[in-house]
Amino acid sequence: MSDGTFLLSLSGQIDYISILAGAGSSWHCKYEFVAGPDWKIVGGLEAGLSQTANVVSNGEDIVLNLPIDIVYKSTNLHGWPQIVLSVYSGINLQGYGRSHIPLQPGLHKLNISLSKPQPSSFLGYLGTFFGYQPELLQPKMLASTAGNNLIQMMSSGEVYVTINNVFQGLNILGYDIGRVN
Amino acid sequence: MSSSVDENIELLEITSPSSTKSYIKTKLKIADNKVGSPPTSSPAHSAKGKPPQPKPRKLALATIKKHKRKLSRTATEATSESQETSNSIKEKHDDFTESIFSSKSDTRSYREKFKERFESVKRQAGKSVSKAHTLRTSTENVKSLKRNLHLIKKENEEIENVLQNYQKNKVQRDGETESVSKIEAYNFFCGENNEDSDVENKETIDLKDFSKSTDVLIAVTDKDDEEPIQFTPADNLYFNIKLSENELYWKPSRNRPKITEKIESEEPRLLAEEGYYVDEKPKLASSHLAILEQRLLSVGEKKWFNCEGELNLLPNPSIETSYKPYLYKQVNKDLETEYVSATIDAVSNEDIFIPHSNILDISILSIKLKHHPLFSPEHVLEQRLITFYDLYKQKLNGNKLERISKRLDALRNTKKNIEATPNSNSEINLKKLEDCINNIRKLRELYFEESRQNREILKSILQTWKDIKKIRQTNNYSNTAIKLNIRKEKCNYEQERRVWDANIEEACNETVSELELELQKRMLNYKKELEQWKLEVEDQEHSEEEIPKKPKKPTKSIDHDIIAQEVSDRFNECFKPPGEPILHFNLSYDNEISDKIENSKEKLRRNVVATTKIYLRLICNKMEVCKSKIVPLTERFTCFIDESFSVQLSTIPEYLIIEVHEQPSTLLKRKLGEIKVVIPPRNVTMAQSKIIEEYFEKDEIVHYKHEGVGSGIEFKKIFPDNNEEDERILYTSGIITCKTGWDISTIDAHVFEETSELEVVQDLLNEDGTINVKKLIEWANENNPDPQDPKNSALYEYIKNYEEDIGIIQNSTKSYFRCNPDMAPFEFCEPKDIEENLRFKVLELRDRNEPEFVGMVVPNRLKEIPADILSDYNRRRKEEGKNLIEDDFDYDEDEIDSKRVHGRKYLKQVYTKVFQQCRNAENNLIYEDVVNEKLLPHIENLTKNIISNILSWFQFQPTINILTPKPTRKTASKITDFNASVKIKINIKSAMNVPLRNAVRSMRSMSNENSEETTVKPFVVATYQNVSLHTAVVDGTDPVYNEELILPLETANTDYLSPNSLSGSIVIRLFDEVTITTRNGNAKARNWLGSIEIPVSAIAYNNKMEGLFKLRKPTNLLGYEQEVDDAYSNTRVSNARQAAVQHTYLSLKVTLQPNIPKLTQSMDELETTELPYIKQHILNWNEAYNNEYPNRKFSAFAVDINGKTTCVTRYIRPLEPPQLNLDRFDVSLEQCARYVSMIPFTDSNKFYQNVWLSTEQLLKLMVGSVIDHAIALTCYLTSLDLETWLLLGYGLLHGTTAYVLIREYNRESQIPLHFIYDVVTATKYDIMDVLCPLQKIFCVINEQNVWGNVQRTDQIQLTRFDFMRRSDWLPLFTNQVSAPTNSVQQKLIYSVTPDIKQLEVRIDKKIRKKISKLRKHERTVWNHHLSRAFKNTVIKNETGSMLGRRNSELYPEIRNFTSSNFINGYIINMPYTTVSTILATIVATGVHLYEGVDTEFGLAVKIYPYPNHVLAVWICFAAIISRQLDF
Repeated sequence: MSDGTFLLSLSGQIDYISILAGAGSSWHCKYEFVAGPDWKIVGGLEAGLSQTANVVSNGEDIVLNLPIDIVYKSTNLHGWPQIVLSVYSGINLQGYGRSHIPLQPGLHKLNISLSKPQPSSFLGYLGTFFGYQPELLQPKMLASTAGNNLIQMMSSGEVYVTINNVFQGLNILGYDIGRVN
Repeated sequence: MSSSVDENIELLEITSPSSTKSYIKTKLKIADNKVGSPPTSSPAHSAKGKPPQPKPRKLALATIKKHKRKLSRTATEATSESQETSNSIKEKHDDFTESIFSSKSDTRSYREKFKERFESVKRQAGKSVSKAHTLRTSTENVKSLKRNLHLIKKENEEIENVLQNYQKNKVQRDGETESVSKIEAYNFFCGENNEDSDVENKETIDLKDFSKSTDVLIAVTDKDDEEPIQFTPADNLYFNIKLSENELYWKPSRNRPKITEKIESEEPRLLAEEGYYVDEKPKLASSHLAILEQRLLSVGEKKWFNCEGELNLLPNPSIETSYKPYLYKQVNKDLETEYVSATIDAVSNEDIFIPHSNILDISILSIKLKHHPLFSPEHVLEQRLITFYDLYKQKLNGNKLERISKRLDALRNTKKNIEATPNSNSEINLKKLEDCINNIRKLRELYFEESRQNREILKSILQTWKDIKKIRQTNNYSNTAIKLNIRKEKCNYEQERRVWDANIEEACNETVSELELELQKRMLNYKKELEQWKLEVEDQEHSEEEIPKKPKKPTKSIDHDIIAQEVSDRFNECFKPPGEPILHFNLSYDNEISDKIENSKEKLRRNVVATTKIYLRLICNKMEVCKSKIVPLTERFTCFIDESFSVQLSTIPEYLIIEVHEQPSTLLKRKLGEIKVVIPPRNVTMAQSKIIEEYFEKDEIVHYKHEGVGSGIEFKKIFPDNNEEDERILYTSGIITCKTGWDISTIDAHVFEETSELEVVQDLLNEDGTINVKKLIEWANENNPDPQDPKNSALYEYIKNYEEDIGIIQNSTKSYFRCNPDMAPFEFCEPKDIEENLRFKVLELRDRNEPEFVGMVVPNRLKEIPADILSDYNRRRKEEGKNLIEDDFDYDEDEIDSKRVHGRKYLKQVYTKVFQQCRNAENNLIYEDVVNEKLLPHIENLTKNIISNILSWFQFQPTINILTPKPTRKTASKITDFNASVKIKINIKSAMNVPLRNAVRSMRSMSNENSEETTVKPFVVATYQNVSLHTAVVDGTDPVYNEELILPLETANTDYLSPNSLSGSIVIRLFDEVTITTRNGNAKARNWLGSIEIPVSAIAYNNKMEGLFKLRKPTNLLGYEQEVDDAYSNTRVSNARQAAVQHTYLSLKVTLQPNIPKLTQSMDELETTELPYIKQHILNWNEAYNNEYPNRKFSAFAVDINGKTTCVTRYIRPLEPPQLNLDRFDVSLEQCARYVSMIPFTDSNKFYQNVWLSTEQLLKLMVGSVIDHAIALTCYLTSLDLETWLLLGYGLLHGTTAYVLIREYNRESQIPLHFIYDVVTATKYDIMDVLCPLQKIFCVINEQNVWGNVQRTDQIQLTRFDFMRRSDWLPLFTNQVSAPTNSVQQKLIYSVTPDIKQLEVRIDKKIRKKISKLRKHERTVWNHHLSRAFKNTVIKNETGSMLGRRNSELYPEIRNFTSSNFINGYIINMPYTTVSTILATIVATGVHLYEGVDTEFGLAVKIYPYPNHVLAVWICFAAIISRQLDF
């Protein structure tokens, strides 16, 4: 690349969600990518919604195998992309997860821990017994630090993501990503 | 065998049909009864009755099988028959159960009867079944079975009859018995104590027996080919097994054996009773113990038992308490676990598996014998000389003498100085002097001593040398190569003599003075003692005891001569006498050792020496490890071995031993001595290690016949003529020179660093790991690392800095920060490099959200970044430094525009700055902005309802329905929506009072017009940032739409980190659809009727806005009916009512979904201009209020133009309004309002509504928020002596905003009336009015105080306005804390508005140009006549509006026009902002879209100037369709 940019191509999939899932519940997952101001998407989807997966027996993993494919172009490493996941059971939120995209090319298996916001009041806490669950207005906020001091979260599970990333032009710009196995 | 079989066949032929029949029957019966019994148990049961007889049974079965085919036909016949019977029985059974169900009393007889029957049948059948297996009784059985069958048949008939009867009865009783029967049934099945159930149970048991046999038989009949062998009852194996087990196995019983069995003696001894110590026995379960004992006894081993008859149980070996003391903190070094960081390298892995090959290198250089039995006397002397010479050299190098003398001189000088000082008699000086003298004395002694030693050495050297020479002379040969060179240095006798004398004299004087001093002391002591003595004596006189001795008076015994003598003796002894030459020695080894010797003894000695050899043994752990080569002993008695050994040590001992062995040619080998070589520390390599010289000695006594001196001899004996008093005994001794070090390959570099440094470092560190500087200094002082060494410079700097820090705070010279040395590897470049790099700088600024860089893409390469990228930023930074707008702002020729542009720019800067402050503050978001809890209110309502319902239950009024409809949520969200997930929903319900077309009247007159044209066809268009949506067209003046328009909100607008988010407003316009004639036939056009502008941020900050929105109509709508209120009524109330009827309203509900994060200013983080206590008070009050009334949140602090917070009260102050009218002196209320409304408004985010401008600033900038205008109006009205407040509240259109509250008194009533002024439209609303836009009141503010609204109701009509009532209004300032006094408002100076003619013309031109440009397909014709007519109208309009009157009456000129033409257009009035905004407004109305034939346009622009550049722009724009053409 002669124009001082580099490309980051991500492909992979959201493999499965490992969470306390009751039999008969149906789950889906939403993903969003958040990147800094220099990052431009040149291909693929910035956000996506998975199919609904039904859970047959208690406690089994929710296999989604939702493909992710996105190509970024950027000039700076600043604002390296992050993936923000929102997991829903039915229409109820079950957790948010966030992770940076791995910095080295190759196949990476991420397990992204999930957490969900806690209600602010006692009444809200009581409401959780009846299925009430506070949600974040913008789950993307997890990718930054703003406002994170206001929320209390409780961990709720894990999402397993496989990501295969390829760079182009990073070495030319003088970035060293270290030894790749 | 075969014959018997034949017989059987015959028998069976006769009997089998009937028997099978009965079996089948019973089988079916059982099936119907549903009493399942395990078929496996059947053999056992049958076996119970009869003992198994395997043999005959087999035969029988075999025969059955053989004749199966013959039987088959008859069997089928029989089965069909039996089927019938079984059916009947089945029915019977059903009935039977049913009868039990129905009634107990009734069926009792039946049941009993039936039971008897049944049992008899069963008995028979059971018998027959059991017998059926056996051949012997088969014939009889068959007969009896036949009989039985008959019986059963009969019975069946009987029962059938009975049942029929019962059936009839049952039908009759059905109704009454039903309820009972259920309970009965229940008892029947479940009740245990029920009689019936007992019966049933019995039956079932019986049936079980039955079933077994039948099952078997049916199986026989059903299956053709299988051998029936499977039906034989199994052997009772279990019993057999058990039996055999019992014989084979032995089970110890659980009873404890008797004591007598256990012991050998007759009686048990009780040791405990006898007084022996008995251990506590471990607790065991007695049964276990018993089993164990039984087992042991069964074998007959009594030895396990003790005399007590108990098992010899050992006490429990485990101890409950630990012997190992708990180690507090101190962990044993050996036990301590060490952290070893994980390593990947294969090299470092090695040390996990392979232990260090501890290879120690030892190199032995030489042995130098200090004494050896084979020494000749000359050798002894030589060694002596060498020893002395070494001493001499040492002294010479040490130069001690000189140093001492210098110090002595210095001391003497100080002494002199002390004596010279004037008040030398003071105590301190005396003390000093005394110390001085003492020191001098000590030093002098030292000096003498040192000097004497030197001299002695000199003497010894000379003496020894003399001896050597003498010995060489006497012997006529020399054995040693030593030679002493003496150099004499001549001295000046006279000079030395003088120095000598002076020194002596000085020493004498000093001694004298010292003695005197001592005497004085002693005198003092004496006096004290004397007094003491006297006292004692006095005491003693009374007690008459021994009188202590009287202390002696010290006598003065200073004899100068004696002292002089002593001193000179001393000098003679110690120093070189004057004139004696100074001697310098030098040892050399160039004396020739004579080869030819006559002395036979000496020859012998030499021979011995030559043949004697020496070798070394290296001993490690008492084992010889190595042996050096054998080296001949030379004449010089120095052996150069020069050999190195490598020793691999498995365990590292403390030291190695090197033994020196001598191997004479004739005599035995002997050990000369040994040395211990201490093993060096692990890190020392050979190269680093120092040469060790170890001394060894062996005290042996050796005598030789030859010249060799031997060992263990006194020195004197060898040299009897030697005058020196040397009493040494010469023993074999020597020095080994060697070197040790670890093999370099075995030393890990890390180990080296760690161990070498760590030991030091460990001592220096505090417990918490920091460097203890004191210890460091101590260490530095002790070890004296070379300060010049660059390696150590850091150390000294550190110490120095520390001392600076600890000491007095002074300007520290260090200009650097000492970083943690461990962090150094992580620094990948100098911080300076990053600072200087433009790219990094830009990245950093962007990360800091500096507005110039937000959203900027920074190129990767430095050369691609424009060099002036920072110029905007720097300029802004520079401008921010300036405080206020410069007065001497250089206006362009277009003064008005440039002022406005500048004002807007400046305000934007201020806003940006405030935003910046807020964004970089810590708490800039509130919980609601982050977390979506919109279901919470629903839960709140639910719980409220539940609680109120519970309460009302007690009041017997359960009324309220519990479930309010849950807000439904759409689950499916499109992926495409994610980018613009935020939507504005505008629910347009209806419109009211849409003006009628003027044409109605005129058209009525025209007969040829259809009725369709007569009314109005309004529709609504909502626009936000180039997105327009419209509703359907609904006819009539009060259309109902009920439509929801959804406007997407782009992410750029909702990004809360951008200062420009949520700016702009949604414009909702009402249009009338009309049909016009164009060249291409009829076309639809629309007439603008009015619009509503709702700021997006107003919605975003409240999420919802609902109500009747007043349509902002143009002053005159041309072509539409104006319901003119001809004369303004006297009462304002009715006026307002009328106006309400007049105005057009839209019923809207605007919502924003979902909520978006918004920054909130935290006032306590900003700088303030208030005093701290006032600030704290206001913050506390405000927080308490906001918490209590979350729906009425407001801030009692406003941010001023410099980004500092100021109390809101300081913004209110009477300010003189401008002189608006020349003819009247007083400025009216309406005029003020109009003036203020003509100042342009900003359309920025509500975030900035906390930024308040003072009126002066507002006028200067000529732009401001609604609140700024309201403040200005409040200030003006206050100066007009009206009771005025600034009211913060929530109203339609602007959301949370400010109004001006006025209290007026009516002449008629005592109750004051309250009005609010909407500053945007300059309209006055009665607060009691339903259509008043104000919906919530937060607080009212005036100069003195702020009153927070604490009334329960949000309804304006019910709000009380008595601010003195504490229960309604909570004042901020009380008697304790009063409001800050100095206002931020400055006295206003109104500048003169320049001539506006040019501007008028320019606007006119621009509009015309724009319209012409937009009408691409048509020629635009301007009707100048109309324009002129408009202009006149406009001027009158303005004067009218200034008088507070809305004169919408059309003026005659226009009237004339309307009579002859259709006119569609409007006259609007707006504040002058920029030309482009005016253009945009005009274009948006869409009048220019008229494409009718012969359409002409009329345009008039009139600007009415007010003081201080405030301009009211009037624009009249209309399309004129000539009426004649329609015909």
